[in-house]
Amino acid sequence: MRDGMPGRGTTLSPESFAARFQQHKKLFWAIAAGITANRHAAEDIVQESAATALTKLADFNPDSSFSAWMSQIVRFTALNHARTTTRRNTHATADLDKGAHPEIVVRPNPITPRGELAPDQPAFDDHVAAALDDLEPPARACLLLRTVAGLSYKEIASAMDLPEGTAMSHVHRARKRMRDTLRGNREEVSRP
Amino acid sequence: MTPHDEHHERLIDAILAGDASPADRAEFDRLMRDNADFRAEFELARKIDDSIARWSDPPAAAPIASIAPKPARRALLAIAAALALVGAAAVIAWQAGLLPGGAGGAGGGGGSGGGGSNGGVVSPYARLNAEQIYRDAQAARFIPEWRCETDAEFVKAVQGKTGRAALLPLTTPGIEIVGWKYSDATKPAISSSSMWLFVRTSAGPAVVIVDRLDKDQRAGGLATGGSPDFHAFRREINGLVLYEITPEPAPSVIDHFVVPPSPDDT
Repeated sequence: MRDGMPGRGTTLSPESFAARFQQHKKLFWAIAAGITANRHAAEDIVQESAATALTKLADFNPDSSFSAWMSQIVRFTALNHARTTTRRNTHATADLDKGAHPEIVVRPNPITPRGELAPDQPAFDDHVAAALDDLEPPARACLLLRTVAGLSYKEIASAMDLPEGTAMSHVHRARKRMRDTLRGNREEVSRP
Repeated sequence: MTPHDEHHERLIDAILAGDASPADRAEFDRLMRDNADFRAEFELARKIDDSIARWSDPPAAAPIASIAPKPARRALLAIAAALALVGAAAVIAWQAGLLPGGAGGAGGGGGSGGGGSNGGVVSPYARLNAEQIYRDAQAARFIPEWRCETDAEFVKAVQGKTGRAALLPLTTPGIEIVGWKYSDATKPAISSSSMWLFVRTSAGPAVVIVDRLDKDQRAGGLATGGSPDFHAFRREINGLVLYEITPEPAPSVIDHFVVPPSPDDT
């Protein structure tokens, strides 16, 4: 992914930064949402990452990928946010109960015993959000990059600084795990 | 996962991501026809993807110039950079004709009653005009990203996105509701929360853009693009704005929308 090349030896201008940032904003949001499992916090993290990046434009190598450089800043910012949130909540796994994810209100399982989807989209969406929350952060981020940002595995690998095969494995296992969770018969999945 | 599961998982992923090879596609079609378990797995996977897309609703289009940097040592530099971006965005917007007096000279809202001035609000995004919207829909072959199966789902979808209930009844004579497309936050029609509805009428396919009226007024309406091949018709109904983009000389969809007044209007 050789995007964001303003030319050898030149520094990325703020205007050029703005254009490239907007071009990849969905990718950055998916990384932040994947790491934090909080779509609202993700927006703040992306903005904060942009502010950080603006102070580091001189550090950007014009011969490298803008999205990879910016993705790294977003990852670090999101990880910092996640660590801070974990410290704040003694029991991070109790976030759902503590209202850290106000958008997730778990309702009765919308999957019928026969495996059909009950006609209750909000309930289904709540379960999907809870199942997303239950994934490991790298798997969730890879899944969001695939489904929301529509990236190829090569691009996901670059954004997450992972081997391509690991990115693919994360996505496949995350998809399977979410389906199992939503059917309520999750099997123990060995992590890669 | 067994190698068998892994293979099916790869197939499901490739189909959902739209990058399946012809061989994958043929195998997928065969499995969907012959294997009920696979069919159920795929249908659930598709519904989960749709749900994730709703969950991840494109982030609000916060202008980059409004980025609030952290205080302390990097604040001054970041603010200075942000101010520089305001200037750059203004230049870009002027060149694109998004600001009054802009070089692009894009038209105002199509049809009756154009939106108001944008009041000097600078958007870092290049908004699509009506012609671009229709051509994007054509490029997507009017294949929607999601559908509402019932009128209730339709109402809920619009309400969830705009805060206003609205309905185009599924049984509207002469109109087939094809489905919805998510707005791309980096290529908004009116705003990042604009909804795209694909419909087919006896005269052919059309696109209806639905958004809040106040957002449309802030954005200054939808530009037509100037092509004689497309027409954009605009309606304001109880806090919503509807644009119908069609090759036809008259609208055939937007006047069938039912938008009840909101309690907030009284």
